Formats: sequence, C-alpha cells, structure tokens
Amino acid sequence: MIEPKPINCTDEFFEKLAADGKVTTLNQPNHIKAINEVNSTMEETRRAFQEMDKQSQISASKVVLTA
Amino acid sequence: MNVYIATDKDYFKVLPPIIKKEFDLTSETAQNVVTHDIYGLKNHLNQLKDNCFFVIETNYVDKVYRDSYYHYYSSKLKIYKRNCIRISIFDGEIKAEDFRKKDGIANLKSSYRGFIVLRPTEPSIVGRNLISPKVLKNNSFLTCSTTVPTTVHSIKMKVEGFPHSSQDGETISCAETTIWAIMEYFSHKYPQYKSVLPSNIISTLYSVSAERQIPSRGLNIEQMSYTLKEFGFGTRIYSREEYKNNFENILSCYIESGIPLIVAVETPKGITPRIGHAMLCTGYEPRQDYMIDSLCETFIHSKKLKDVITSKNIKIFDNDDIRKKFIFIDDNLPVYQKNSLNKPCENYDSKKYQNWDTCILTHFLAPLYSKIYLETFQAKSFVRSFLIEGPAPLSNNSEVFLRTYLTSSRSYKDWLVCSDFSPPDLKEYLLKLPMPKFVWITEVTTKELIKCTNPKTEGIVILDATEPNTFNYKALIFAAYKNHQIKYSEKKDCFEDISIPLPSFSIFENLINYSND
Repeated sequence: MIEPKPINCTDEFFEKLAADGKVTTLNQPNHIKAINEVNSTMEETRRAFQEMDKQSQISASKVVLTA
Repeated sequence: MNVYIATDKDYFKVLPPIIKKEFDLTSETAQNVVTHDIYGLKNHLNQLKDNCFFVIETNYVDKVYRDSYYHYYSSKLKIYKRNCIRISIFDGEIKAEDFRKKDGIANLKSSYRGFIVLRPTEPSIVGRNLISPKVLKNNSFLTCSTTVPTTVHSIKMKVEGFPHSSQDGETISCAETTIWAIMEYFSHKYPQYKSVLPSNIISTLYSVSAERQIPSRGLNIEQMSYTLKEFGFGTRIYSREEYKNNFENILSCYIESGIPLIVAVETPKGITPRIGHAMLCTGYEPRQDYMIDSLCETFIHSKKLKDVITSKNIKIFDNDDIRKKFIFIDDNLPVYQKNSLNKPCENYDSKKYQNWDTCILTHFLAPLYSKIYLETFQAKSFVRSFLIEGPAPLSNNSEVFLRTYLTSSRSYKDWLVCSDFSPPDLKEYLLKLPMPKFVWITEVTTKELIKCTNPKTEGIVILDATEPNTFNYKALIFAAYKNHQIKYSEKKDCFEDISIPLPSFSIFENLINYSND
C-alpha cells in the first residue's frame, strides 16, 4: 500500500537546513540560563499581576454606573 | 404601516407630524423632537453626510423597546404606545419606485447605511440604532463592527457598524445599555453568543440583587462583569488605580485586538455631584507619523528587566503607548464619539452636562472568549522578557517597536495565506502548526517600518492564549526575528533556533479602517 504524502509537508525544508548546519538545539547551558532568567522575570510579573488583579476586583464592586 | 421618504433638507418638516400621530405628542413636542438637543435625534442626524435620504416606517415592532414595554411600561397607569418609528438611512438619492424594481433594489442595497429606531419614551426617544461609519461626515477611524440584517419597506438589507441605543432611564441605564450593545455586537459576529433584551439582563441579576431592579438605578462594575460571565464570556476587570502606568497600555492592546471594552468613567474624588457612567470603547483613530515620532520608551514593570535594558542600551517602544484618540459608543451621545483616554467625556456640552468634562476613565471590563487564559499583562511581559533575556536576545543598542494583539488563529492563518510572509516553506510550516482558537501575536518592528504607507514588521512572536503558565516557554508557539526562527521540535522535545533570514512583511489588522472608504 502506498503511503499518501501530505500536500503541506515541510520536513524536507527543515532537514535541509539542519544538514546545512543552520539549526541549533536550545538545550545548552547558556540556553538553560536564558530560560531561567525569563522564568525568574515572569515569576516577579506573576506576583505583581495577582495583586493588581485582586485589588481591581475589590474596587469594581464599589463603583456604581448610573448616568 | 405607513412608509414615507424624506431628505436631509426636509426631514424636520416631514418627521414631526408622523411623530405627533404615532406617539400621541403635542405638535410643539413633536417639533422639538427633531429640533431640540435634549431629544438627541438632531445630533444623530447632524453627524451624517450631506444628501442622505431617509425612509420612515411607522408601526415598527422593535425587539428591545417591545421587551421594555411588556416588562415595565405596560404596568403603568399612563398609556404608552407599543410601536416605534424606524428611520432607515441611504447615502444618496432614492425614489419610492426603487423598492419595486430589480435595478432599484440593487441601488438601494448598495446605498443603505443603517437605521435609527424612535421609541415613545419621551424625552429619551432615540432607541436601537446601527449606523455605518461610511455615512458619517467624519469617519477617519478604525473600529470593531458587525453585519446586521434588517429590512426596509419589505426589502432585505444588511448594514455594517456597531450597535448603539440611548438609555430610556427606566428599564435601561448606561450600564444595561452597554451590556445590551456588547451582546448585540458579539451575537451578530460569533454564533456562540446570543443577543439579549433588557429583561434578560434584569433576570440574570435577579438572584444576586438585594433591592428592586426597575426602575433602573444602574449597576456596579462587578454586577456588569457577572452578567457578561453569565452570558458566556471570560470577563476580566482592570482598575486604573491598581494597574497605574500599564492601565491605558492594556486597554489599547485589547482595542488593537478588536475586542470592544466596557469602560467606566467617574468624576475625580471631591467633585460633586458624583458621576459614574458606562460606555464602550470600540476603536481608535489611525496612527500618524507624528504620533510615532513623539513616542517615548515603554514602561517596564519588572526592575530586573529594566536594569538589563539600561545596561544594554536597548530601547523598546510599544504601539499601545501611542497617544491617540479612541472611539467610544456612549448612550448619551450619537454613535462613534472620538476622545482621548485621559478626557473620555470631553465631547459633552458643559452647559447641559455639568462636571462631565472632568470625568476620568477608572475601570474597564474586557469581555474575553472564555478560553483565553493568558492575560494581556503577562503575555506582553513574557514577550519583552523573551526578547531581552531569551535564547536569541536583542543586541546592544537595539531599538524595537512592538505591536501586540490577540487574534483568532483562523483569522491570522487566513491572512497569512495571501500575505507577503516568506520564505514560503516557513509560511507553510506556520499554516500547518497546531494553534489554539486564540493566539497572542507580537509584531517586532521599528518606528520607521511602522510609518510606511504599507506598514511592515521584521518579526513575530506567537503565544498560546490558552496557556497562562509561561514557565520554560510553555506559552511560546513560534518566534521569528533578526534571522532567528525559534520553534518547538517534537522529535527533540525542546526548542530549536533556525538561522535563516526573514524578510520584513506586512502587519495584520484586526479592525476595519473606515477612513479608507
């Protein structure tokens, strides 16, 4: 049985780029360090967001819109 | 049902006798309806282009007023009429015989620009209306809009615009009107939402209301958020006091995403009588070069990120910091009001509306699709951190202009197919990439490229809007900028960086630009 070939296959494109040495896997120590830096910034962001989010909900219950 | 034709030169003579008869008003009051500011109709018609023609139909059954009538007005001693008058608007000359000829009907359909319903609730006589921005004297703006089917003199028509109504002050205040308008917009745009009537809003809040609900005395923001949640949205509330420097930036980002917002405006503390008003924000005026030139670096919330930016001398400009005017749908004023975010009620007549010009925008409600879990503030923060601290960081002394928005992956892929994005294999890869219903897109470009007649971007970052957990790049779907294409490799179970150049390509627009018409 012949396996049908999808019309939107891009494997060959990426395989050729890999063969040309244009693909870097992001699993080296400097890449892990970069991931950790982003994680640390986002943790700081998450905490700030939670506080702003909670206080927004509290203040929303006090504003009556009638005009 | 009687049908009349009037022009913009004689409507003030044709309309009063019809209003007098249909609404049982005195001749003087009927004349005032078309000539006096307090009734609002004059201001609605004044903003239309010259040479408009109007078709006036009597005995019109308006779904919104009829609902208010049966649930409230019919219970009064005074007799209120059940029917309304509908004014249909045409851009250019029409004749009575056009409605009964094939060629004439085609002409009518192409020049149809919407309708205004008049209801017998003096003085708030302007009811449901939908007016195409195409028929306005000043239509240089981009706005969310939806297509609404209707009929005129037995002919089916369609019109594109944003739904509007004035409040009647008894069954619907500004709060209920904005909820009605937002549901009217979403129900015509997406099949998963239903349009609502005033009684639906009242019944939704019945079990959580401590007092009687009609006559309406307005709603608080929490009640409005609850109502929208019950109608199927994943609503988010934002307060200026809490989000401070990020507040207007986040608001602008939602508008750029094509999501209309409910905004709350209030008088500052100490000013009496206190005003609390709800309206909708649906669009903005087009970007101008001078706005981009005067743009300052964006506010970075994280101190850690701020230090890195300073040490590397990186400059980040954000599209959402541009000082532009926004489009407001306000039930006290004609549709599509243009104002800045720091003076949202500047268009109010200070003689008639005392202290309204001092109002500030204090909160907004974002009616989001229920499965958009990654929030704006976090999505924008992640992109900034990724570009500065990620695996392929921006080089020292870089200057980038970021434009972030939410869009459906269907709309984005549909646009991508015919866009100038290249190389073609990378485009095909993006088209076949599994994406959730909604994605966050950040275009990474420069001030110069965004100022072009056909604005361009040099890169994009695509985030999964269903992934609020950004740990280890979990929300990242794809990133491409400065010769780096970062994508996830299933085979290797980690991200990989592909070094191929990405030529600049056109930006994507969520909103319709009416100024091009």
